[in-house]
Amino acid sequence: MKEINVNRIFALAGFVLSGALLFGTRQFPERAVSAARYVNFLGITMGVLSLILLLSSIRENERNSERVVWIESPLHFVETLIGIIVYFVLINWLGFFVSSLLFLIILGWFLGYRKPLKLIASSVGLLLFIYFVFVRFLTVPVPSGILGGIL
Amino acid sequence: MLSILIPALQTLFTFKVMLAILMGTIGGIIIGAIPGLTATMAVALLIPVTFGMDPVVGLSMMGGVYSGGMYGGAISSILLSTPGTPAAAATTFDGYPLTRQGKGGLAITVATVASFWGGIISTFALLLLAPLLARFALKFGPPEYFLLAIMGLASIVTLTSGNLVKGLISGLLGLIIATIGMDPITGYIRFTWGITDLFEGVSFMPALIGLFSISQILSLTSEAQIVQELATAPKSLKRQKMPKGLAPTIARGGLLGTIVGILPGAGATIAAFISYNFAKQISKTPEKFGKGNPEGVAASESANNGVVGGSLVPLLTLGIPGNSVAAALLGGLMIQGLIPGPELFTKHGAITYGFILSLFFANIFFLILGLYFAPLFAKVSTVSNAILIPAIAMLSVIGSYAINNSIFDVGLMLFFGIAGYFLHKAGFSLGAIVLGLILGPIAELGFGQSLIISNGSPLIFFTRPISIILWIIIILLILPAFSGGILKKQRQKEGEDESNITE
Repeated sequence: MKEINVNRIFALAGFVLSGALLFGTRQFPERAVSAARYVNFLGITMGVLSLILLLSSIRENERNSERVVWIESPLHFVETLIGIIVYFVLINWLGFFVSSLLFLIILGWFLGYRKPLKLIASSVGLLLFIYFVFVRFLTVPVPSGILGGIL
Repeated sequence: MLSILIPALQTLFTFKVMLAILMGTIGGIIIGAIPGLTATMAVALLIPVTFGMDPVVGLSMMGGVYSGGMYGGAISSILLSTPGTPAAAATTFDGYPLTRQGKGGLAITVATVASFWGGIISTFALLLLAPLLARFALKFGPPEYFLLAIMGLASIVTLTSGNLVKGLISGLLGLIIATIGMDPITGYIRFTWGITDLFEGVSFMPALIGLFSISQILSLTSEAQIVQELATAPKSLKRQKMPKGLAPTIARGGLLGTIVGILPGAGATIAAFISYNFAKQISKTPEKFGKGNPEGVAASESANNGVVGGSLVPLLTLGIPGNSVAAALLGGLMIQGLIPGPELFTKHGAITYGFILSLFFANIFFLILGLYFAPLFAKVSTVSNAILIPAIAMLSVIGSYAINNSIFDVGLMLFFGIAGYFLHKAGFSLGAIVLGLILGPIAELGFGQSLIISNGSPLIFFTRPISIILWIIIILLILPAFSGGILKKQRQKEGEDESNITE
């Protein structure tokens, strides 16, 4: 996608946001007048800046506009993205340490690291470090998950 | 001043603080040395770790990461020809040719010593200038604080590569996100869609970690298959004697870095390039630059570490971060309950001066570490992205959870990370979003209180003498970016090839 088209889309999104803010302040009660003033100020400024962005993208020549490459390596990008989301869901079930160990090893393998022993050793080493720094030294509770108590 | 400095110094001489500075410096060097990982990311990930610590311990650790990170970038610049941080880009010009000539050890020694002196010069400047500027900030009222927040945003948008309007929109987006939750004056709860976790607002730590870490690792996925090799065997990097005649270059670089660091909007990358070009211009043998001249390494490295102390002057006194690392550091200060301004140098003097003095130790630590353990850091700098990406994702998860023990915050962090990636690709500034988010409550409070004082008249922002000065500074900050944009368009018309270098 060309950058000027990206700018046009974001300018329109800016208008929507600006409108939503201005509309939103109309629901504010009378006692929140100062909050409404500030949000209106932000909404109007967002509208003005979006208009400038839109006008400048209309004025610009499409041929001179640079191409925006959203994702350079789709396979690794998608693997990482799905991996992180699944990891987030798993933490709620398996707790932090079990899901982290699985996440580190599986995503590392998918991203192309093919030395299993090194991969396992570095993952375990990192988790031990986290355990001593966060759990023991800083006494930060980590998510235990629904099955955490059983595992 | 001595009456504050001595107790501050005493707070540093404990095992905990020294260990924190050492660990911070080592962590900073490692992250700085790994291309793709930035000092900003390191500070963002470190804040949750320092949250539960004594403020002096936590801040000293972050200072160590900042100093170490700035220096660490040189290692991969010299040995891989890939700067570990953008700030070390100018170091590659002469550092890498030196390695190719078998003088990698010499280049590392010069970079280490130059970085050390650059850091020391700038820390002295910070120690002398910050209290003076802080005293001036005592005269500020609500309108000035509102304008300061705007000035902070104006300073960071000037750093945005390319489109100034997008930079401003980014900052504004941060301010808008900061309005979610309770209004600071009347306590009215808005834009929360009934989600109780949002009643106190979007906490900025998950946002900061998401924007600086998750979006960065998503960018790194495009480079997962690149195998990096060192241009020389790490064992061959023996410590060398410093070449003679580099002292003036280092002193100039340190001063230039400090000045550029103080100026809001400029940063370490710009400082290093200015210093490098200046050294080349005044040299009797400019033709040697770019072919392995130790002077080039010294000029660039002294300047980028000079920025560390310089950038902390406006940060600690006015709350204006000149670069994204300083923006992340501002998050670290706020989470300790330390609001930049005059109180940092009076009420919290022991902590603030302790932090400033700890930077001297961070510099001493990386001098020793760099001179004796550079081969070790060089080896670490080639670690595979397939290991780094999951590891940073995991640290981001635990970091965003640790602040409030909240899974909701982890989800928020992921949301900001993914959205941040696409916003960055579209040319928006993540640093400006974070800054808007951090400065949002200060801006809103200043805005609301000012209008209450003036009975709703916005003229209050234009009539007070300090406000007028602040408006002039804001305009001065934004104008060069506009003219830069015009120049860029002209160059594009002329068909010149141009590359953007940003922090």
